[in-house]
Amino acid sequence: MIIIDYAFFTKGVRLIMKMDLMDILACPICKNEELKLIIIEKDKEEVETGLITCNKCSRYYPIKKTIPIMLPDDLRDMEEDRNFLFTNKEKIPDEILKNGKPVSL
Amino acid sequence: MSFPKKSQFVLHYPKKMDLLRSEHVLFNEIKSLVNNIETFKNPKIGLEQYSLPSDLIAFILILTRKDLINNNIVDLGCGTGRFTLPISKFFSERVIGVDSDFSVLNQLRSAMNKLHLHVDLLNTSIEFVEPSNWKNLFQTTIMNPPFGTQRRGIDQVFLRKSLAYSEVVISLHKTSTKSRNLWKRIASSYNKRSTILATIEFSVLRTFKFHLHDQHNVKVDLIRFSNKDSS
Repeated sequence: MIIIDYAFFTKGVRLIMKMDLMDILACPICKNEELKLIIIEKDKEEVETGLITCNKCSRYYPIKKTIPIMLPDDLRDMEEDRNFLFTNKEKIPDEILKNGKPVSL
Repeated sequence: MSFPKKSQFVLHYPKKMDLLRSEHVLFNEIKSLVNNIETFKNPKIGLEQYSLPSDLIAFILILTRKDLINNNIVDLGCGTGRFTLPISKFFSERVIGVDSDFSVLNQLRSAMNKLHLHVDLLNTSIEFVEPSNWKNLFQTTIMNPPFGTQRRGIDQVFLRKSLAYSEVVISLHKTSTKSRNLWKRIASSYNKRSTILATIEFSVLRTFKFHLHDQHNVKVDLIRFSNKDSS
């Protein structure tokens, strides 16, 4: 069975252990601060692999090895992003797989 | 103990600096920790990735420790973590390393795990740091920004951004009268003042092919930017 673990970015929810990183993250493109976290893989308290998504501009930002990667389109490796979606496709909502930016499946 | 004695850098200002016995111990502990943190494996020219000598890092952290102890700290352009990790071990656990290069953050993470430390990491570029969000969370920013030799003006971008959200910014900049005046003007526009804590010369090992010599010397100012109305 596939379990999609959703958590919303609200004050007090911790992505990373020491600080409320949520509070400082905004979408680099549209500056939207209400981002959503999709947990793909957890290691103890930390999100080892995941996605941060922005529903305003449909962008997604991967979390790899606990590190959120919030880069503008021109600094992203599209091929790698596509691979990331493909590898984790069973744990990522269809909406992102199909219409996510900057690259979808 | 005084500087520069057998150190990897030359202190031009202040003329002399003595460490207390307790600081001497801390100095050596920081230095040996930093010696265990690798420098850049494949330095990228555009990002001006180079590392500071371990004793210089220890010197800087001891000199600025009042701004570090128990504060929430951003290490902007943290690279392989040679500031980030000693800060988290000796000064404040609440430190975040920010860099635009994922591969060096990954390298930092391995070093961190080996040393049984934990810091938060964020892969983003300086243009996308949102000062209004960061203001409530961080007091101090420490950074060794690119000098701007590859990307003109990038040092200014780092400085303006960090001044916008931090109470205190500790930063290294190439020494020149012209830029000292510029930093002063920029600081003033954020209602801050700049104080030169030290002027230091050290050699950067040959990292890039365009470096003609095995090493070349750079002279930098260690500058503290703080609110005009505070100490």
